[in-house]
Amino acid sequence: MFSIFGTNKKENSNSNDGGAPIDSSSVFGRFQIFLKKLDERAFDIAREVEESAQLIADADTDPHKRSFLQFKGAIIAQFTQIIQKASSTYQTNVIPAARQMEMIEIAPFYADWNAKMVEKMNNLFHGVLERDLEKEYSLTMTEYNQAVGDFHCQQCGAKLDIDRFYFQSTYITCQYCQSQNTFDPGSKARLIQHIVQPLARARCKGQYQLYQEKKTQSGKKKSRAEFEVYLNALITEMDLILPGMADQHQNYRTRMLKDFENEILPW
Amino acid sequence: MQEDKTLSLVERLKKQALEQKREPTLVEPTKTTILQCPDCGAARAKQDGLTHCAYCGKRFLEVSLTDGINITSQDNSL
Repeated sequence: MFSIFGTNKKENSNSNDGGAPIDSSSVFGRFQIFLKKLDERAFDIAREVEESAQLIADADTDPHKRSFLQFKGAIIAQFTQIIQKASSTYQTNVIPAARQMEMIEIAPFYADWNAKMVEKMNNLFHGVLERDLEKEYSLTMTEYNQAVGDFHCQQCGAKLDIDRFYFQSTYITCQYCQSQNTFDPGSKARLIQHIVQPLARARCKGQYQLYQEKKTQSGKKKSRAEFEVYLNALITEMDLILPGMADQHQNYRTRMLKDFENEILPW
Repeated sequence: MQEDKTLSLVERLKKQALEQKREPTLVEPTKTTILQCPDCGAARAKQDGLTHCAYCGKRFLEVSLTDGINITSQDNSL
């Protein structure tokens, strides 16, 4: 079970080469045993990942989740290695050794195994909530709202009235002396513009599900009304999160609708 | 290394990821600044635009402003 990628690597290839005792003498049998071993390896990793992935994501305090992404990358690399090992064995050892009649059995078996393994790899981190955007957003907004209450005009000392969310530097005019103060919202507030889309999508999940249901029932063409409801809700949310970008959000809406009507696009 | 041998692969990867030293992210606080004219000490006023000092006429910005999200072309000094 332990250090399966160190010493066992040799054992695996030995068993395939016919060095270790095997049940079946046929190429297919040996290949099956080999894939089963890879399966066990993948299963062990997947089981442990399921237990610890969410914990790592939660424990990682980095704003870009670099530790979690490093871990995720490493695990994906292990799965890629498993898939590649099976592929190279299939290409170099199985195909040349198998008879044509045997290949009729082996080829679909391998294709099936490969598809399952790729699916397993892709779904490995599906259940993990990498970033809780709603929480990040509310924390940033609380900090922002607390901070903006304390700013004073640097020319005359009067209180500055910052009444909305600025996600980038702007000029705030002192209402008493008319001086232009440069307001920098800070790096946390600036990051909001990068999460506006995923956050708005997460908030409109209900409308999106309704659209998806309609789409599966009666096809894409007949679900345009539902799509528009979802899109309108999405744009409203985006406008709320990022004020001052209404024009850009409308452009995004137009583009999404155009994409929807485009028959060539697969989504 | 002795300790590492008793850990499973996933545990080792997890440890590696969490112990990796990272470049610290720069967090800038929310702040305001003001640009005062180096010649006369006045700040720029809303009505007079942003490119010149309203009092002594010193030029602050070489460029002329165009329409953006928060700044518009009307913010150019006359």
